[in-house]
Amino acid sequence: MSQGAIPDESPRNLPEQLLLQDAKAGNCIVIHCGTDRLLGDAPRLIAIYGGNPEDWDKMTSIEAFEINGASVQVHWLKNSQTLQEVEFKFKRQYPKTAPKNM
Amino acid sequence: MKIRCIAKTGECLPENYIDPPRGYTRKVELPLTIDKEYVVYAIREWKGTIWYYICDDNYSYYPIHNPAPMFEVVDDRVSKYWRFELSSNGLLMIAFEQWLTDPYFYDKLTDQEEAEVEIFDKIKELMDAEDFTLPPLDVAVKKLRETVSV
Repeated sequence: MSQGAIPDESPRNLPEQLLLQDAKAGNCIVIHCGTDRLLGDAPRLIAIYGGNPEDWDKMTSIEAFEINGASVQVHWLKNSQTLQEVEFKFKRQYPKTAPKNM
Repeated sequence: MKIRCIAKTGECLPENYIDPPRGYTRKVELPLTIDKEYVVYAIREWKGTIWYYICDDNYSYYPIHNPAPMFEVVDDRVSKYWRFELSSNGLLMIAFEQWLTDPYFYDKLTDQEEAEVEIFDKIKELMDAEDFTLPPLDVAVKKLRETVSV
């Protein structure tokens, strides 16, 4: 596991860029609250960005776009006290392929 | 357990669900469909608020919590895969075993880690197809007594 800061992931195309802009504009919700269960990355986040373990939440874009066959969302980490937002990344989920008949 | 969506914006939420730093404002609109039924995969209670983990209209690989006031319960029978956990910080969770035995299960699932995604895939398949049918009380007791007396 990385011990340093993870840079924001760059969008690969225009739809991803629009999705990221929409999320950063506030169209987002929490998916994991640090106050009730700590994130596995909490020690690393504190070491790099500061705060308390329970301050760090995981956020997601509310929108999910279909882009090149994948369902794409943006996830990132947010300090609920300072409102600092870091380490934006795209989550691309491709449909499962049906098992081949042998 | 199944629920039906009755609202999808923050306007319907009681004050204690409103939490702007975490996205829960009066204006928030969640990816839900009014009148659509959703299977509940886990339940979380935190400081008087109740949240249902469901596969919403943007579902791709993990269930996400949604405020209980946005739903009505249409099937109150609980899953046989559920376990109960009351943490020392007051968090109450009802979820399947793997979620509760690994404190980072949901963190890893939302991070798209392969093992956790595969576990949820399997659990979802089982819970979606779960048969809640029970025999009538008299029939069930008679069968039990026959088994015990042998």
